[in-house]
Amino acid sequence: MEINKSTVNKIKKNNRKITLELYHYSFNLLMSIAVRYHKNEEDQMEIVNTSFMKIIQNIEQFKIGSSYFSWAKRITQNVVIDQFRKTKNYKRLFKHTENDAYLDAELSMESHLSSMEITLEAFAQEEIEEILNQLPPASKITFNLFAIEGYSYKEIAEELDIGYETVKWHIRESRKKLKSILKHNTLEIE
Amino acid sequence: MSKEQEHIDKLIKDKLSGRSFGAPPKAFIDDLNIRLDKRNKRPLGFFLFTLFTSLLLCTFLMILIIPSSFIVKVKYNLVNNNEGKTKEILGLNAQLSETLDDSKLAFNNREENNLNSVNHFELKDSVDSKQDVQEFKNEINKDKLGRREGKEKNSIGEVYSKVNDTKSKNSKTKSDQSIPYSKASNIDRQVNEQEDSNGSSKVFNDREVEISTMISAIQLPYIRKKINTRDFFNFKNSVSFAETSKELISVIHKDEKSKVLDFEVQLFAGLGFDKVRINNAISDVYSDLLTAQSENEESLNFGIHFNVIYRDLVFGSGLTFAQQREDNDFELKSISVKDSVFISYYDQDVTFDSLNNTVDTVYTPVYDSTQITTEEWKEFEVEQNYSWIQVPIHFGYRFQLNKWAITPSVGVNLGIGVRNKSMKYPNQDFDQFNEYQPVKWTMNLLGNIEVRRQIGLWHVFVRGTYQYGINPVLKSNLFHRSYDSLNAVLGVGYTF
Repeated sequence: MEINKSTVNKIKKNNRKITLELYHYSFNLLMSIAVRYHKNEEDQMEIVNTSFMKIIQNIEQFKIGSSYFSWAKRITQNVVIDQFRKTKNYKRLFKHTENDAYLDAELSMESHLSSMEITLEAFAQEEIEEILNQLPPASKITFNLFAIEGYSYKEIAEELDIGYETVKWHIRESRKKLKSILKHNTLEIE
Repeated sequence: MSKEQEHIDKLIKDKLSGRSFGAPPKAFIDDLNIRLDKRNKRPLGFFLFTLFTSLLLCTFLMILIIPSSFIVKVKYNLVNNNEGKTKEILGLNAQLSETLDDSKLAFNNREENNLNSVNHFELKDSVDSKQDVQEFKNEINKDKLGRREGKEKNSIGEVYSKVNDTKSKNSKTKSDQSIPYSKASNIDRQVNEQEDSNGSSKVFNDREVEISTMISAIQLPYIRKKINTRDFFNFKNSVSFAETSKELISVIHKDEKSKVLDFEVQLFAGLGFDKVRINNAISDVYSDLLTAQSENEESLNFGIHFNVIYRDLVFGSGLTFAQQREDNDFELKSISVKDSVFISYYDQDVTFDSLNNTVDTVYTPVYDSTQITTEEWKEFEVEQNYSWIQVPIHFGYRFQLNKWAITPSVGVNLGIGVRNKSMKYPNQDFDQFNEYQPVKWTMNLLGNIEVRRQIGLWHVFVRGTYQYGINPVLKSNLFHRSYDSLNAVLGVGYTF
């Protein structure tokens, strides 16, 4: 689908056919972001459709000729961040609490498994998403923004209004947990 | 960052890239269509709100612009000498009439020609004032002639009485004359003469000049300002009267005789205290738990009211911003299933020598896993906040007690939902939250009691309002949530 001035004008004039075409065109991108943050379909739909509505509401700000997907991706990431920040007392989620005892206990197994090489070939994409979704919410969003979306520590700290060191801690803990889960699952597969 | 760390980040990023999801599921498309329909449709509330506020604004402007009958009363104290006082009395009445004409003309001309000074206009001479002056002069001449002829000296009070008698006789004739504004003048007869210590000047107390005239509310401040200047008391044919003025007071109020309707506008702000009612709950246990975990908080409300008063009957409406706030500490059951790895048994590996004696025994742990289910209650602090623009319509009766008045009234309050926050309530099992959308419209029954103190055309008031929610603000298959509110506001009002 080509997004040109005519397409933008039609979307502004609420042309349903063109709008739905753009939705189909954008769906893969929006969904690929949504599945990394939510595992149930309703939540994924909320992210996808809220992001798409923002895209068409702000379509006149899209610079024709630039990358539509980069622009749409940024909007979706902002929607994800906004929704996370709307969570009541979301900052509490970033505190290292007793909930993480589970994580620590699991990580104690790591020494036993540390010698294993991590490989993801045996895993399907859905399984990796499932594993990402096992991370606590605060670690999940931090790791996703850093490792997959390419945000810096500083950017994450600013977007989520948390400390720089907190960001680093969550990314480090996410890696530990992911490695632990991946190695454990690799053992099971073998 | 170590290579191993980079490795895990890259592995996951690479693995997740290029995933295909195919066509959007039907549920996604349906949800999108609903959102698109909502986007394309302007809410009915928006039009009604615009219409209502436009009507209110028009009414308000009409009240300001349409002329109605006012009484302009000027009270003053002065000290003057015998020669000046007669001219001054004549002059003040004429001056007041002229000022009203002058102010009205100046006001209208200022609006039309954007001119600022009243001195630029050729003023229409008041027929009343000319006649008053002539009548008064005739009386004074008679008085002088009488004294020359050795007759008994007339007091100033008698002269005033004569003028007023003549004026009252002529009043009917005057009302028939074609003059720009309906006008009747009166000079207060209560004049006290006191000799000062030097015996050369007199003190006159509690004098009043009253004129009834048709002016619009928007002209009032201008006329009031004009009267409340010392220049107003300077007369061409008088002595230095302004220098001796002690007190200048102008009173402008509605002409009670000609008044049919009063209009007033009120601004107010205060606090509201809400109580939740949960109806149609799926179970009593659920209802009790919700109630126990909810705490109402006081909320701000403010607004503007317009009242129309016919005799002592009050009809009122306006706009109010109101909120209903709750601070909930919901306890949700959290069931977590954890995989736990444990050593199931040790695999014993025994080494024997040729004589079948045990040389070495190696124990190798064999791991097994199990799932552990734990249940715990976690507390979540959720703040619920509903914001409304309310349009009250109420009728009442005003009980007057001098400057105090009590007005009980009843009516309805239509609420338009403008903002809400959170709207999260636990599900039936209290293990997760459900999110809801509140209704867009509400209707409440309301009862007001207002106590006011009149200060000229202004008044201050305290009003208590009880509202009973007829329809719930939030409807779900689990419960209906309604609010009853008690508001107390403090405000100030102005009567036109």
